[in-house]
Amino acid sequence: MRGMADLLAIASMFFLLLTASGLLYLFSSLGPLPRRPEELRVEHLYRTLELSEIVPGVGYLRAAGEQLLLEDPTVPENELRPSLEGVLSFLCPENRGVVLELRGEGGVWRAEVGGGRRELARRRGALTLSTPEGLASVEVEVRLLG
Amino acid sequence: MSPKLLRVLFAFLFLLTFSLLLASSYLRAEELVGARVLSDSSCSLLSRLCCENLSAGTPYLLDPSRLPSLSFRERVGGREREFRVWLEDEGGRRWGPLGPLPPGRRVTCSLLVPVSLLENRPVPGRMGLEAWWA
Repeated sequence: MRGMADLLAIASMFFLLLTASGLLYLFSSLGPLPRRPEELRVEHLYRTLELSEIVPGVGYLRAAGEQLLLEDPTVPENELRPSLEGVLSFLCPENRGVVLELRGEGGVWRAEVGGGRRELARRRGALTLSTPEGLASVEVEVRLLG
Repeated sequence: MSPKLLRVLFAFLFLLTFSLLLASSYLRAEELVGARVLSDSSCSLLSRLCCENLSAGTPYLLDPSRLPSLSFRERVGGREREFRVWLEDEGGRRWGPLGPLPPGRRVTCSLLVPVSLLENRPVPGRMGLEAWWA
């Protein structure tokens, strides 16, 4: 009987150990970090580039889109690129990188600042511009890297 | 010391250690969940500020002159929340921070997002928000 009591005590301790370990695992693993702040940042970044004007009446995204579609864009590339990279560096959170990519019939136009390999959030959109041949569309993608 | 007493003592220590571990991990989990709730509600607050309270007519385009009109305390789901806000443009011009200071050792959530600020024309800027449960 005494041996049986010892065995039961040891078994109940093991049961307690397993239960406690399971609960500890449950409490400490609350899943991945929330992505909402990063999604919010990339949405704000896209809208900021869309709304902010590099010259009166021309937003940064539109100026970048014109590089792909127009032979004579409102803001020449040698002015747009340093200005846009400066703005992206100012807007980019610390220890993050930003990639802005526009794709159209004329190819790809890309600007990148900061570092980071892992994609944290992405925002896709489209821009419609009027060209001498009619309306043309450009795909826009903003990626936040970390 | 008798072997029986030793066994009881070991069992008691075993029980005590796991109870303490369990209690501390529960408190930590509660703290993490609270921080996540605060982070989520701060994101919603920031979106509302950018799309309604500070908006210059277009969502994400902010009018810095509307900053002083904000009420920096509000009730969310039966809890009081306080926050402070600041705006800054690329040229270094800064509005705020406006709002109360967080009490010492209180868990706060800080967010910094790009915004467009309406000056003579829309220019790139940043908005900072710090929120905490009052």
